Amino acid sequence: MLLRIDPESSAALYDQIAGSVRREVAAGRLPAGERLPSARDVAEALDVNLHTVLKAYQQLRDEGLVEMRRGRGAVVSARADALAELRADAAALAARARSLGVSGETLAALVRAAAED
Amino acid sequence: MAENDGAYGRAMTVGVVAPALLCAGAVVALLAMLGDVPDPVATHWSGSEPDGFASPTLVPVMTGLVGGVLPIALGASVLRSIRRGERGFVLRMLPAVALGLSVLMSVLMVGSIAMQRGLADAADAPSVLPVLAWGLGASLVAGAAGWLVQPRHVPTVHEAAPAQPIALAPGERAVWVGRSEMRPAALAAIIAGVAVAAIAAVANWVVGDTAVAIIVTALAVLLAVLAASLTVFHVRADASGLTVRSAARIIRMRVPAADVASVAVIQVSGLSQFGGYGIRQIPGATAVVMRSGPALEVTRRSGRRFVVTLDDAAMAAAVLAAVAEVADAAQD
Repeated sequence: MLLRIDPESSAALYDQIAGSVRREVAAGRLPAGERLPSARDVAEALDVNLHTVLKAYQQLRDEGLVEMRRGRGAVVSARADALAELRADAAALAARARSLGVSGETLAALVRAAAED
Repeated sequence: MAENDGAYGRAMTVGVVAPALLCAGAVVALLAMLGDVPDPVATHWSGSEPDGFASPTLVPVMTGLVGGVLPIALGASVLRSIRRGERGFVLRMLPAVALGLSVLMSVLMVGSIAMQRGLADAADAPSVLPVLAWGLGASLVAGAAGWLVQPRHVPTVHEAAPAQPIALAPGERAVWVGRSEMRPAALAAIIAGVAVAAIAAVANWVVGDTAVAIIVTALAVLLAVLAASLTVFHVRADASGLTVRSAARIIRMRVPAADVASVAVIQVSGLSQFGGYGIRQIPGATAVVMRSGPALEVTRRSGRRFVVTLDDAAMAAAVLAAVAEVADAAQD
């Protein structure tokens, strides 16, 4: 699992970590049932506080992307397959936006608005 | 080229077909002699005196298992690798060993029973040593023939694809965290082995000898610890370099970022390149080989290579390459 964080960024670190996991799931590199690395491992690797990673995992659990299982840690839920399925649509949409000269941020706002309707 | 050298057919003949025919012949010969030998027959000797006896019907069964199933399993274990186009010393060796083993067992079983024909009591059986000598001699000849019949194996060298470091913004950190695991089928076989040892331990405590029970229990515990610690490795590529540690944190191997000379993705075949699976040491390289397939290869500044099998080796390599670049820049 690839994780990227930028301490200079305005986004909170736990948001960035959760975003990294989401990206891996959407890319199909973390299939449903796959175990996430332990929060302790991730914290040591990224050189961040353990609670930051736990908060990121908590966030992913709240949105249903991972399940916390006793003794097995965080496991990617069945929701992952849905995300991977949407990835092709998202890529097509992004390509169409590019060809129309619509920026990524505008597209994201558009999608967010559509999702909230 | 390597695919058309006939290695697959020869390995099949030497390691599977020949042992199967030999073993079948031995079993037929043993069945034909069943009526002429004492019951029980001598099956074990100490020095020149027989000291172990068994029912004669057990001998063909034992021959089938030890002289047939075991060598064939050994010989067949290399076939998939050879079919994939891999070549190597071990892949040529194992079918020859299988043939030698099946010749040894066939000669031993048939010979030791044949010399008891016409005896009223198996305790009068002569020494087994001449049969053993014949068996060993024949198995060496058969093994050598099995080796020579197979084409020369030029060890397969897989091309290493140098890793492209992932692009990082200034100040951005990227890490890769994952696991190196066995294939589920291999893991299931190991779990089954541990389970059998555990059952044997329990059975010996219940009905067996205490001394045996202690030994079998120790063995079962050792197997369980080994299985728990050597079947899954946690792999981490971060700013400090590459860290590989066993699940139970018993073993830990590191390549510091500053010691990374180059990073590549290679295709590993456990048997032909490293002589097996697990933590392997070969001249010039240390490897954690959990299965055949893609692997991350790190070359240290000393030239020594460290290899670990990973499903997503490309991403791990890209992160490690980026980390090494940063460490390199920091040193200058």
